Amino acid sequence: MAGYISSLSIFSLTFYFIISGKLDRTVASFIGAMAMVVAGKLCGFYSQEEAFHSIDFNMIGLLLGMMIIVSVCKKTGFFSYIAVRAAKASNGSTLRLMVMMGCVTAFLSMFLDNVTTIILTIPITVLICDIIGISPLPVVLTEIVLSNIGGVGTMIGDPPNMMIASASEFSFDDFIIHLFPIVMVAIVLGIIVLAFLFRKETKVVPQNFHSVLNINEKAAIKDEKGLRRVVFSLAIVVGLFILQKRHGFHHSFIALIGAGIVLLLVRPDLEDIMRDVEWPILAFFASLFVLVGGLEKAGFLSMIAGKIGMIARVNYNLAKISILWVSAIFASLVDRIPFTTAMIPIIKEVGELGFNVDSLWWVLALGVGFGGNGTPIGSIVGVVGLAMSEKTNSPIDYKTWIKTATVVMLVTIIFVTLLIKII
Amino acid sequence: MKIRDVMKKDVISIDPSTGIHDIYRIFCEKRIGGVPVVDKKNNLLGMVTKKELLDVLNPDYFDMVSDFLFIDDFGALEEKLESLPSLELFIAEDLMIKNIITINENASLMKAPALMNKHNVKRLPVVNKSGKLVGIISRIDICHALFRGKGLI
Repeated sequence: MAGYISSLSIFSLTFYFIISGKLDRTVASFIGAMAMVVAGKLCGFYSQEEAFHSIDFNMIGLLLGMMIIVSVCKKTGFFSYIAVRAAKASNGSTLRLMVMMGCVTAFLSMFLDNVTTIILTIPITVLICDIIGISPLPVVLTEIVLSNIGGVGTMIGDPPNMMIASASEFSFDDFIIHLFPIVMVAIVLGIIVLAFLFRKETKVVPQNFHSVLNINEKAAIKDEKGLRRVVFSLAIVVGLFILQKRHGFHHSFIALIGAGIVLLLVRPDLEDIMRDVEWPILAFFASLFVLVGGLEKAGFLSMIAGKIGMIARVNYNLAKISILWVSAIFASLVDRIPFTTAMIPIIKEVGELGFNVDSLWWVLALGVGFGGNGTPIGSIVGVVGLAMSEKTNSPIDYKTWIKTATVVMLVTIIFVTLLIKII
Repeated sequence: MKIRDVMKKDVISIDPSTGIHDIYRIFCEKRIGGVPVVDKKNNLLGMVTKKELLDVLNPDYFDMVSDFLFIDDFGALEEKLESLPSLELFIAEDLMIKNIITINENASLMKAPALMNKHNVKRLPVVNKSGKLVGIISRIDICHALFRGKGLI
């Protein structure tokens, strides 16, 4: 009982500090993790060995490997090149520009970290909008929303997917089969909703479109040879992921092999690359795993799993719908990473109760992924995107967000709810 | 040698409400590249240099764009800039850098070039103990002091 109470209070307190922003989230989760280890040893519910084993190094290695690859990729000028190409293809229509830029961001988010994608695409998008003389707001908002949706499409698109992949042992192609088609439809739905809500803004005809046609996007690529090598390495990584069931290498090793190939072929400045790796995020994940491990060993998560099992026994679809909506609401209001970390052992335990939990994993991924669009603080992409838009002359405010992105979140979650039987 | 022995004492300063056009005129007429901003009691508030004047032209998000060397034609942005109606509205308070590097009048002269190099600035406002502006020191002032000391001037 002491374990029960102490683990739950340490977790809740840490969670409070993470979402209130009173402490840096890595520092909060790190202190929480250490408190959990101390309480676990004193009350005897969580040994130090168990704490070590609770860290999912497979997921952390996957994230690290992808961070290294992305870091090399972003120095090549590839993102500016793609953005200008998309802008040129929009052919002078604001609506088409919004759709093109959104789709490019969604596609990039499927393979690269969403925040990196947003940080690289928003500034060049705003610049292009300013050059052709339209308000960047609808385009930037579409990029943010579609980045969140696109990230759900593949195993490597978003950290929650990586965590789920590592815990469930689903392979890359499982994600493609189960999530990718839903995400594609959700992207279309998102575009339709945003095109309708921004129907006034997108009617504006850009006056200076010819200036974009004058841009030589090839000049944006700083290191063409390097870019070709990065693309080659990324292709190897994706190839290895697709063939994962045949060769049986873990997710982390595939990403790290890719990182090794990139470093070998491109030979970037290693210090530069290591500065780009977000070590605080990796430490945040490791700490969360230790923290949630304590909650799990204290028996708290089994209790929740038991409750979900009870619902599932009566009506399995109802259990799926509740996980979907709870995940979506959690993801839109608070940090979804700790939530996902806590849900993983719960779903595993539900599986041990004798249920086939495959669809619960997919529902969790969709819920936390699409739910991120619920409010500006629901995803890091939203937080970063909004901060960036504040530097433009048409910043996205909360009201605009609620009227547009939140609607997309509701539409996409309702869409998944309608599909619940076949997921 | 101390800073106060070398600094320029008749320092030109402006108050926070000075308009951008007046600042520009001071730069042209006095042939200086930076001017301290002080309140009525001569407390140092910030600094405006030529760089801050030019920063008005660049949108805030420009520092986030990783590379725009490949863009030559800035289209509507350029047109907006040429007819920037709000340019006159900028005053020293909006333009100035607030966290500036200062040096105390009693500090050793040695410290000035070290500070300038470390923070990559061309001039240092000199303050007394209570933070009031008492002078300004630039690279050439330090050179003057050094050469005068060697009897070269």
